[in-house]
Amino acid sequence: MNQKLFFTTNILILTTIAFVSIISDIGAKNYTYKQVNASDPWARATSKLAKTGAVYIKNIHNKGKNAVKITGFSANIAKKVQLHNTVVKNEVAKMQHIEFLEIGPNKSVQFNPGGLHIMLMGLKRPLEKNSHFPLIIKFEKLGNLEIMVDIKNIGWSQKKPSNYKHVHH
Amino acid sequence: MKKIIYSILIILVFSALSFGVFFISDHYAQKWQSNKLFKAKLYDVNGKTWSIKSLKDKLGIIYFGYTFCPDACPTALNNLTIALEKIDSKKLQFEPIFISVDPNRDKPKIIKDYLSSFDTIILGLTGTDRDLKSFTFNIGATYSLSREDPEDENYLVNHTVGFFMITSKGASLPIPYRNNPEDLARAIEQIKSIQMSNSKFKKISSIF
Repeated sequence: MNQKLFFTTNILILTTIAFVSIISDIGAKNYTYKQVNASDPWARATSKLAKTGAVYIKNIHNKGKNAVKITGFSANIAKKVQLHNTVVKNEVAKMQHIEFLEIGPNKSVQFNPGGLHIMLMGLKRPLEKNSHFPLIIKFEKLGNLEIMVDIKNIGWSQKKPSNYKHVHH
Repeated sequence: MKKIIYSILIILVFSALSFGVFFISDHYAQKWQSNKLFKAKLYDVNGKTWSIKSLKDKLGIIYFGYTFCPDACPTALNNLTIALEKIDSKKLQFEPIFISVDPNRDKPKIIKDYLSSFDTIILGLTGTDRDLKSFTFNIGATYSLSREDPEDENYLVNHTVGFFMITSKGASLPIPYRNNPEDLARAIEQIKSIQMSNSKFKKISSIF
């Protein structure tokens, strides 16, 4: 009898764990490393012959007391990975290559379409929707944060975070 | 008394003349500009030459970009797809057009592949650098290569970010830059009404 009770409790615990993990999978994806947190990284699916792609991150938050500095990115899927910012000046779009990005204490940055994005150059294979790939964010002193980038259908759009702010460089 | 009548007559003749000169010069200036737009040879993804005449009664919505562009171009074309789905779901009024200003890398096959990933049919065009320069200049757009090393195949292209609305007669208007489908749909509707009243005005001015 006792054994049966033990068994049902076990099953109950297991289903709860499974249920919680499914729920968290639907909700925001968070990657935390030391004092930094990156949420919901995504990329648009590309066509078969595409050579480039762009990665967006809903929010990178620095919850520490000191500023952190992003010094680069790397991903196996592309030959070159660079931080870019699309700047519109006099109705002309220009892409700026950004070498370093500093995030102050308790500050965040957002990577949104038409603004900051991580450019993948020389894609080794096209970005297929509903799949994902790893990307490394390199922080000065702190080290590397590995995140999983979800590839979304081209029509998918990221909802703006409630505390949406423009970043100045 | 005669003096007053004479001066009124002179004023009337003068204003009629200046109106005439305005209409005629405006008419010819626009004709000259649209002639240039007709002359620029662009071709589609199947290699067929394309002219704005083939728009017929539709209004072309042109975006100048390049397939290597990972952020601005797919974002804009995706916004356009969603905007047109809202205001022209039956695809009767507008013809979305993507003109690649990077003919060096964007061969028809690549443009075709690139546009296949969008949820609507977008007409893909390109041309020689000379024809593209003439076409963009006469429509009021611009583009330039951002290439420090001539050997670098990963170069970027700076280009006009907004759309242009064009008729088969060659009348074009810029659509102000909007970075979301809702505002873009509104801007398209506004420019369409200006385009419509302009063409009515042109019918009247063609009498002169």
